[in-house]
Amino acid sequence: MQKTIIKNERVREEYQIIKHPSGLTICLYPMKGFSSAYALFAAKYGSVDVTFKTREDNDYVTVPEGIAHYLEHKLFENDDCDAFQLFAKTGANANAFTSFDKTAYLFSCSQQFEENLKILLNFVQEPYFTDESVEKERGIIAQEIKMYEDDPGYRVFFNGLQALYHNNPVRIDIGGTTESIAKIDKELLYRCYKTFYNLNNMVLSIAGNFNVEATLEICDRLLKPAPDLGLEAVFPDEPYEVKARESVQKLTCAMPIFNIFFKFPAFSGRESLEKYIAYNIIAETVLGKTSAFYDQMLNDGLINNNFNIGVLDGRGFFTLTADGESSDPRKVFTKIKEAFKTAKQGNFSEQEFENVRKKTYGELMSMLGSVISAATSVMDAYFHGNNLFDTIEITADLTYENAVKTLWELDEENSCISIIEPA
Amino acid sequence: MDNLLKREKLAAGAHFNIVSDPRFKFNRITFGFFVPLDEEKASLYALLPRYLYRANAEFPKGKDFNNYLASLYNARNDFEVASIGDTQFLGVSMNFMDDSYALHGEKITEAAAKALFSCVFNPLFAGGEYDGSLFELSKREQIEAIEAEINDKRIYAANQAKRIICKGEPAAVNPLGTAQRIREIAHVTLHEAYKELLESAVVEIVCVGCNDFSDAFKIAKEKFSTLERKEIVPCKSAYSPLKTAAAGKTEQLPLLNQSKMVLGFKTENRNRAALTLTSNLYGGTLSSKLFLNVRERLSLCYYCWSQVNKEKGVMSVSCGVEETNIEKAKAEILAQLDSVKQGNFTDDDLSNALLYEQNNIKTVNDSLGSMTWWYLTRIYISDIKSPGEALAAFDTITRDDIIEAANSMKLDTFYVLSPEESEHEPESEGAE
Repeated sequence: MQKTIIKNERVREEYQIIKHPSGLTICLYPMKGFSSAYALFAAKYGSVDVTFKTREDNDYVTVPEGIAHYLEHKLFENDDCDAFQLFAKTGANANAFTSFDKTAYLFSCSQQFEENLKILLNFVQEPYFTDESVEKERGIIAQEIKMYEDDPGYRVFFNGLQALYHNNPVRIDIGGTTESIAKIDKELLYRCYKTFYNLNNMVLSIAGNFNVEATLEICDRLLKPAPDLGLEAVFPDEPYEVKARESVQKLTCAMPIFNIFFKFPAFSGRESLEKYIAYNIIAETVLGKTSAFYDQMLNDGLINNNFNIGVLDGRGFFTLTADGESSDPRKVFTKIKEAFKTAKQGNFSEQEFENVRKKTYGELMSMLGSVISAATSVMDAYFHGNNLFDTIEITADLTYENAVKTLWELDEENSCISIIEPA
Repeated sequence: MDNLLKREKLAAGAHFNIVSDPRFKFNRITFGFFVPLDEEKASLYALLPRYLYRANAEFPKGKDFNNYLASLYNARNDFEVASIGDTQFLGVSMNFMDDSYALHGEKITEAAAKALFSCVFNPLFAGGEYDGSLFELSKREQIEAIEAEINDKRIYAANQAKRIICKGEPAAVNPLGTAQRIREIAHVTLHEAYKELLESAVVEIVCVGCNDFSDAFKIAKEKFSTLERKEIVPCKSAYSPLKTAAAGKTEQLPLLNQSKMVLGFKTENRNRAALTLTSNLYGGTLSSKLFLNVRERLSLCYYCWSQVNKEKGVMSVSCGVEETNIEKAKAEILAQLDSVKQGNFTDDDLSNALLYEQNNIKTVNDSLGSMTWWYLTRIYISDIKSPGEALAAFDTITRDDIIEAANSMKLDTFYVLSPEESEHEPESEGAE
């Protein structure tokens, strides 16, 4: 068992990463004085992983959209009972989520941590699907899909990704469609499970109030070693340019809702994290609450306090986003592009950059005060090939000169807008 | 670990509350007003927190204030408008990192506390060069926030149902106000409302974090020493009376893919712990009767849950369901409540409901936001207990208490939000 201590003097915190003989990576972050613990058992498997092969396969296979999410729903059931019922006996809050590039099973508890950990490790490692139970779940998932179809905030985001990307599977709805989930059966679920729920492709991340030795003892006992299958998930080639400049849909909502995307080539590893931090800080400096742009747009009545900016990145995708509500979303789009152009021409204040850098550092520090944020951030950092404190250090070290250099890599014309208009 | 509140009186009806806990790296100060929910005044009061939080006499421009807060390592100003039973809560808060984590030894705590108190005590009302733009912006945003309720169909359906369930009572008033009334507010009227709040509203300042908040207390004490407090308007909630016949209403929206259904039940039972556990067992958890039957066994819904409003004696069940399955889902929801009424649940079911609640309460201690809201609520119900102390109330709940609480639940309201041109024709409110 190989153990690495990840320590940061600046924030006076540490956690450990253990490469377990079973193949699983275990990240343990005890937090003194906290009442609760939060654990995530996650696979590097999300909605984008629709085409893949292992060493055992002759060729790549493509599976229906939404299958990772379907699998997440089904895994809670095993042959004699439901994992939720087992968690109910301990009082834990259990749940799961599927994102573009990962699926995580989790619980939060303030008592019986070890019992909860056993339930988590057992049910995720013991799939049990029958034709009947797979069929039964189809109705529930269809209702979930329909619920999101009525959600303007959700639709504006996914419509935007469909305009942004030609081929990248990030453009697919995480839950799939009622048509695509109709093609999912027991055999396909088992195939995806065996491919992606291999411990070499997973991580266990725990933060808060728990005992490290007892945790490792449970892992030794319950983890089922598996050979590395040499998994390869492939992504189709993605052109540099956006697919469409605009997407418009009508739904019941009070005023137009927009989501603007600036497309970048995908990054990986440390470079991805550096770009993620740099563009967050750049966008916040140019468009955020401390900027002249934000003030002007508020005063002109073009945005309100629901205006947000951020960076979305993952395996094979990287995009800077701005979303909100506006009576004239197209004008907001034009103004944002102009703001980036003028920032490149010198309208990028060093003082405002410095304030935003401090603000970002403060935001990162706040995640260390929450067991949920700490465990989730440790997991995300692992899947991105970094550690939790890299984010803080890169932020602390980012210079104005480097930010200006990075700003010039943004192509403001390689962008699109998604709008939901009131029906 | 449990936290005990230190509570100091600042003036009549105004208190300063501290929960100091070294585990945290952050601090949060919330300046809260409690006022009775009143249709005439709710819009006016609701506009104030939004107006106060984003600027003050020292920083009259939002941009300058935001830059100042960013320089304090993302000290975050925020506001909240909500209802607790028949009461409107208005809060302005500041979250900030503790001094010991600053990169260059800056004094964040004192500066952040001063900034918050300046928003509350030195707002942009009188004279100077104030141009009114902040006022107009706040009005526009408030109107947009009110109108945006329709965006989230789950919230919209729940709020519409609540308006029918509590019709004629203060709790039916939207704490955010109405767009029409907000449009009519003049700056001078808002100023009057502000003075009214400082003079006569119940004020609770709640500080949570690793700081001892002595500097913040000094500032607050000084501010209140010069403030003339008048007669304090008390805030309380009353249980909602059961309608003579259950009300039914179907509303239609265009381009809707999934119907939403809300059932409202009323009780006269005053046992808060028993009501909580009854709702948990019935529809509050992932092992509850509604989850296991309406969702898992019948596959009718993705979500179907119950929650209880203990200030109003109301339990509501919400779900998203296919138009054609509304009656089937309603029948199952009622059948499951009947089964709890008849005592068709095991000791394990009760134990699970209890463990879930214990876990929720113990977890309160791990977040500044949840601790703040916990103590504000406990202060409101005049039963100040730490999360640890509050757990004891659940120890004595028996299965008979659950059966009694379930049997006290009477169907009061049935609300459906459906796609336009659906089989469920719109009905006006009235007896079903």
